[in-house]
Parts: sequence; structure tokens; C-alpha cells
Amino acid sequence: MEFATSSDPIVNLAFWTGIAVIFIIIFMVLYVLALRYMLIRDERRRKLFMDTWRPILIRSLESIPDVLPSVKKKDWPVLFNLWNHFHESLRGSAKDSLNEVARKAGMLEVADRLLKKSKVKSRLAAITTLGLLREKSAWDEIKNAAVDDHPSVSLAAMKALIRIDEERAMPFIIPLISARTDWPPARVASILHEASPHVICAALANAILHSPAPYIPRLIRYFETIACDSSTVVLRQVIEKFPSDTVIAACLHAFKSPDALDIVRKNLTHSAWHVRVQAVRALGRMGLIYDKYILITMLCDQQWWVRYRAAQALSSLPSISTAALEKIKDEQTDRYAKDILVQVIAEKKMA
Amino acid sequence: MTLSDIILMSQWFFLLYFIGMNLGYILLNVMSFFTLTRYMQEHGTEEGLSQEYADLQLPISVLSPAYNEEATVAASIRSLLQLNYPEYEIIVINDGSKDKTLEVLIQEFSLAPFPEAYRVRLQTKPVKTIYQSTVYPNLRVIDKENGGKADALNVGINSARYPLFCCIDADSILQRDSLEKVVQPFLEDPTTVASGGTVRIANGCEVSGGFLVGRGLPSNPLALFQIVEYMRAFLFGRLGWSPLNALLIISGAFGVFNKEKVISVGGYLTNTIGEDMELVVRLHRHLRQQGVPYRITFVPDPICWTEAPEDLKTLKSQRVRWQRGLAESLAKNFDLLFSRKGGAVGWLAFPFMMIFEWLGPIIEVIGYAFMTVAFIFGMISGQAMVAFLIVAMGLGVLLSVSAFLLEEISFHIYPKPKHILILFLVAIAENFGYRQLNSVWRLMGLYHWARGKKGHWGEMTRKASWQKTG
Repeated sequence: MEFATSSDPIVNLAFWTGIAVIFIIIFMVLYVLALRYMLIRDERRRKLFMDTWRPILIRSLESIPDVLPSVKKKDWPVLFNLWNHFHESLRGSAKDSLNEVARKAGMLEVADRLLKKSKVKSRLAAITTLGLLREKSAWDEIKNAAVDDHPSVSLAAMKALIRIDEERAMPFIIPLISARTDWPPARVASILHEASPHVICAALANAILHSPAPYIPRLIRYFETIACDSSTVVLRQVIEKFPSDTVIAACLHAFKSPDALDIVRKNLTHSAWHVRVQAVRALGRMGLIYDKYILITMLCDQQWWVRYRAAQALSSLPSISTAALEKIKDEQTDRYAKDILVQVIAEKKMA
Repeated sequence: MTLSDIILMSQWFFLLYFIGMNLGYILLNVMSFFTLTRYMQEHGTEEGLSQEYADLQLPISVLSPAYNEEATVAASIRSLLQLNYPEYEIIVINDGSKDKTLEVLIQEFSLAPFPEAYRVRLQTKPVKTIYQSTVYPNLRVIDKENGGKADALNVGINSARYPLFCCIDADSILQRDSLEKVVQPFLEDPTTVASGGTVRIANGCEVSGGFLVGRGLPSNPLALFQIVEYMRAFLFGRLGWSPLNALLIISGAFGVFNKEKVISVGGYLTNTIGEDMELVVRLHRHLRQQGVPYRITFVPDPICWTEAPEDLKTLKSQRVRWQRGLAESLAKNFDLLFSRKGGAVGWLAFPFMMIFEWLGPIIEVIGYAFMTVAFIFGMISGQAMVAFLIVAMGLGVLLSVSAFLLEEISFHIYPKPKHILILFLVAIAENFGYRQLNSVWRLMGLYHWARGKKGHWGEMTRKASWQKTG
């Protein structure tokens, strides 16, 4: 060991750094191999467990087995996921048999324990199972999980609360969906659809009218996807209460009934171009034949998007044929209006 | 000062430089470990997007610039057309290809000239014709005069209809859920302006119908070395900076950007060879200067695969180009370095990149040359030489092995234990020549940059031996 006894400090530093590095590398390689070994072992055990329990769950739809195999601690999350998957694919009374199996296997007690664990996957499995079982006794625990920082945990908890008691859940979850910007909107919308339309529409309408302005556009988008009957009335009220650009644009996007045409037409001259875009789009959806004259004037707007949407709206008005669009195009003196009509006519021909 | 003093000081300098550089990367590695663990907890459990609520997702314009890609362009576009995403359009920009790229596109996708009211928001070389596919309503092709990749991307941005755009290389192989994954940061944080994905090497894998269907390792040693390199570069080279909001590179092969923010900083710069990195550094600089809250994020999921060069000539040309791009990107945005509002990017990532990546090749090559010459002429002892090599190479192996560890706790890309063993041997082997060769190529890149040599489209010899038609 000449290096170790060298008096040169550079050689010493390099030598001991090298020795430390070699030991760390050996440790890391062993750790990687151990991880891979555990992965393979877990996969095998998981497969074996599934092969045992899948037939039991299928058979339980006919008759509940008297005796169920015992479940090892490590296998509980696998059983929860398997059971959840089965449950979500079933309809009607078949779910009752599955619920019976869950209670008999002791899943309820284990779910309470898993809920308190820090592992996200275990908590998700437990929350979903408790929601599917509509387990009222777990309400407070799940409610706590709904304000968890982790988006998947909080969303799963919100879904479970709706499943357990939708009316009781609404006053709690509506403020959450306004505030949680980290929740993907598509996932929130899909969860809201779990609730009965009358319950969710009433709760959302109330929230839209009483929430702070920054939350309103987000709530309006959910209101729109639920297709509530009362939407025009609520949206009119919200525009009166909060006449900001973003709120008006969100309302114009959501209007589906010609009852709102007066508001739509009024906003065609709004100073913000993103409001004008939504106004021309709305006019395209619900406008009447004589709205074509308004839309023709919008073809000369400064903003490309307003011109484009106006041309599209024009082409979607009742009784506007391609020939009629061509005629309108030929009558235009504005170059930009003409260009955008040429594009939209071409799109219409290709469609 | 005597010659022996100079030699002693130089020895200390090179030794401390190598230790410092590797310690820096090890710190990034530790940061990545925590980020990745949290990411796997948060995202390892999510379901796909619900197609029913497509209206609530952010639509994306996918921009695919193509230059002389007649052999692969049709397969690439077909795979893009099969991505799982509720609303997206594909814009292929033919940058004045000299081969039959345009003809192939016209024939394969039934393109017809389309009178689009094209908006010039970023100045570019003239657009010749815009085509629309008569079969796929979300596919358009823009034929333009040659102006380089950056110019082609700017044309794509001008034509893009959606608020986010995704730039991809025509030869990239995406996963079906690539867009879903890479757009997540925009959904989770509305201040996100850019998000990049992990790029992995497709050599040795099985590709069918434009998608990766089987994972494996290539037999070509150069491709194997690059697998280890990419693992290091993406799993901690980028992931480590992301939580500090100090990510300086989003690969041109796959990244999503907020269109308006990119237009507001002037789009892609056409007089640089590393337009992808330059744009990200410029976004940081502008948004920091303006005090605008923003995030530039990295998604660690392996969502984009690319073919690595398997011959020295192509690899050398690629590395020379990359180093030039890096030098240009940092030089053009030098104001960011230690700027008052620079934050972690100006005070940590930029100086780190400057010392270890930009100037690194100079010190590395001189370091190796100095130690070798000094040893040959008996100015340093054999012990000192061996100790220096143990540090330089041992730390290199350590970084590669730590990248495997990150890989093993997350995605398990390579399924067989045999793969781990091979990659471990490659991680050792690459330190005996390959890394040094890379340093020399990077030094050449710096030389080209200093001479101000004009950049051009990176042409690559593609073998695509792994690709099946389907």
C-alpha cells in the first residue's frame, strides 16, 4: 500500500477519494441488484396472489364462499386494487356480493389502517374501497384525505365522499374544487359526474354566485360540462355581479341557449379580444340568420382569432351555403376579411 | 515560482476541478433522488385523461420540422396521428428539403393546397405553400424556403392554432401517452411556460408502427455508451435542476411551450445551432428580468425515444454541434449570470453550466494532456498519475452507477438483470477512452464556436435497423 503511506498530500487525497468512490460504487451496484431481486420477487408473489383471488371474486358473484383464504400484510394493497377494479366494472346487485366478500375478508378494518399509512398507493386503494362500500363510518378520515396536498389522494377522497353521501359532500368539496388549481380539470369534471345532476347543479350555481371572482371562470367550466338546465339564468346573474373580462368570456363560452343572444351581441364590441372571440363563437352556435350581418362586420376585426371565429360562425349559421359564403367573400373590400373567408371556405369544402 | 511549484499547483487545480465537478453532479443526483421519489408517488398512480372531458384539456399544436427526411417522415407522422390526446393538431414544416420529403407527405397523407390566412407573428423565410390533409383534419404541412430548424419552428409557431406547442424531431419515437405526460405541469401549475420530457435511446429496442414495442440493448458499443450518457444527462443532469426552477435545457427532440410566452421573447433564434437550449435560457432571462412568476419543468417519464449515431463520424459531428449550441446559448444570454433577479438559474445553474459544461472540455483535455506529459517526462510520480486517473474515472463510474440507481427506483426501462450487468460494464468501459474522446470533440465544438462557423441542419446517418413497418 504505497499510496496509503505516501507523504504527498495530492496523492493521499486522490487515493482516499478513489477508495471511497470504489466502496460507494460497490454498495450502489449491490443495492441496484437487490432492488431488482425484490422487484422480481414481488411480481411473482403478486401474480400468485391474483391467481388465487381472481377466481374467488368471480365465483362470489354467484355465491359467497364460506371460507376465504387468509391475506398476508404485504398482499392487502393487491387485494384492494383487484377488488376495486372488479367493483368498478360491475353494475347493480352484483356489487352487493362483492361488498359482502370485502366485509368478510376484513377489508374494512384493514382500509382504516391503510388510510393512516404514508404510502400513497395504499391510501388510494383504501379510500377508493371505502367509497365503493359507501362506508359512512370512514367519513371523517376521508374528509381529512380530501384536503391532502397530494392531488391523487385528495381527488380520490373527493370521489369517495360523493359516493358515500353526495348532498353532505357538496358544501365541503365545492370550495375545494374552486381553490385546488393543481387538480386536473378533466379529472374533477369526471368526478363531479358521479353526483346526481340536480345536486351538483344547485351546488355549483350557488358557488358561482357566491365565490370570489378569480374562482368563477373555473367553476363556470364545470357548470358547462354538467349541462345544467338553469345555466343561462345563473350565468346572466354572474355577468351582472362580476363584469370582468375573464368572467364574461367564460360565460359566453358556456351559453348554449338563444335566450342569451342579447348578451352575446352586446359583447361583440368588447374591448378585450378574447371576449370578442367567445362572443362570435357563441353567435355561431346560437345565432339567427340575420346575425350574419353582424358577423360580416367582425371579419374585419384587428385580431386574427376574432376574424377566424367570425368566419367559422358565419359558415355555421343556418342556411349559409358555400355559395353564399363565396358571395360574401367577393363582396368584401377588406383584404383580411377576404383571406380568412378563403380559408374557412376551403376548410368547409374539405370537411 | 519554480517549475515544480507550477506543476504542483496544476496538479491541485486539475484534481480539485475533477472532484468539484463530480461533487456538483453528485449533489444534483441527490436532488434528483428526492424529486424522483416524490414524482413516482404522485404520478405513478394516475389514470389516463378522460376523453369525455376533452374540452377541459389544453389543446396542443405539435410542430415537426423536416429536412431531407423522405425515408422516415411518413412513419413518424403516422405515429403522431395515433397519440392519445383529446385535441391536438400536427404541423409538419418542410424546410426546403432537397429530397422527396414533400412528395412523400403529399402522397401518404393526401395533401391538398390550403389557402390559410397565415399570420406572420415571427419573421421567417417565405412560406411557399400550406397543405391540408384531406384524410386527417388535424394534419397540415407547410412547405417553406430553407432557413434552418429554428426558422422552420418559427413558421410552425406562426401557423399554430393552439396555446401550447410541442416541438419534436421528425425522427423521434413517442409513446402514445407522451403528450398527456408532458402537458401535466401546465395543468398542475398555470405559470408553467415550458416542460420537457426524458429522451432515451431507441437503438436495440423494437419499434413497430412508429411506437416502441420492445426494450433492449444495442450491440453497437457507441450506442451502448450513449445509453449510459443519456441516463446520466436526463435522470439527474436535468431532473436535479427542475425543482429549483433552474432547468437550462429542454431537448429539441421533445418539449412543450406556452406559445404566447415564446412569441413574446421573439421565438427561436435562427442564427444559433442550439436553438432549443437558447430558447430556454432566453425564457429564463426575460421572465426573470420582468419579474414574471414562471416555471420551466422537467418530466422524468421516458416518453421520447431517439436513434443514437452508431459511427464515430456522425457522433463526432453531433457532439461538436451540441457543444457549439451550448456555448452560443450561454454566450447570448450572458446577462443572466449573477444577475440581480437571476435566482437559482442565474446564481447556480448558469455558473455550473459555464464552468463544467461550457469551459469543461478545455480544462478536461488540458488536464489529461498535462498529467500524461508530466508523467512521461517524470515531473509527477506514477502514484500521482494513478491517483489522478482513479479520481477522474472512478467518479465518472460513480455518476453512471448512481444513474442506474435512479433508474431502478423509478422506471425499470431495461427489463432483464442481464441488461443491468451489461450497462454496469459499459459504465466502467466508457471512462477508458470514450469520455476523453467526447471531451476532445467538445473542445472542437468550442473552437468552431470561437471561429463563428455557420451552423446548419444536423444531418445524421440513420440506420433504423430496429424499425418494423406496421
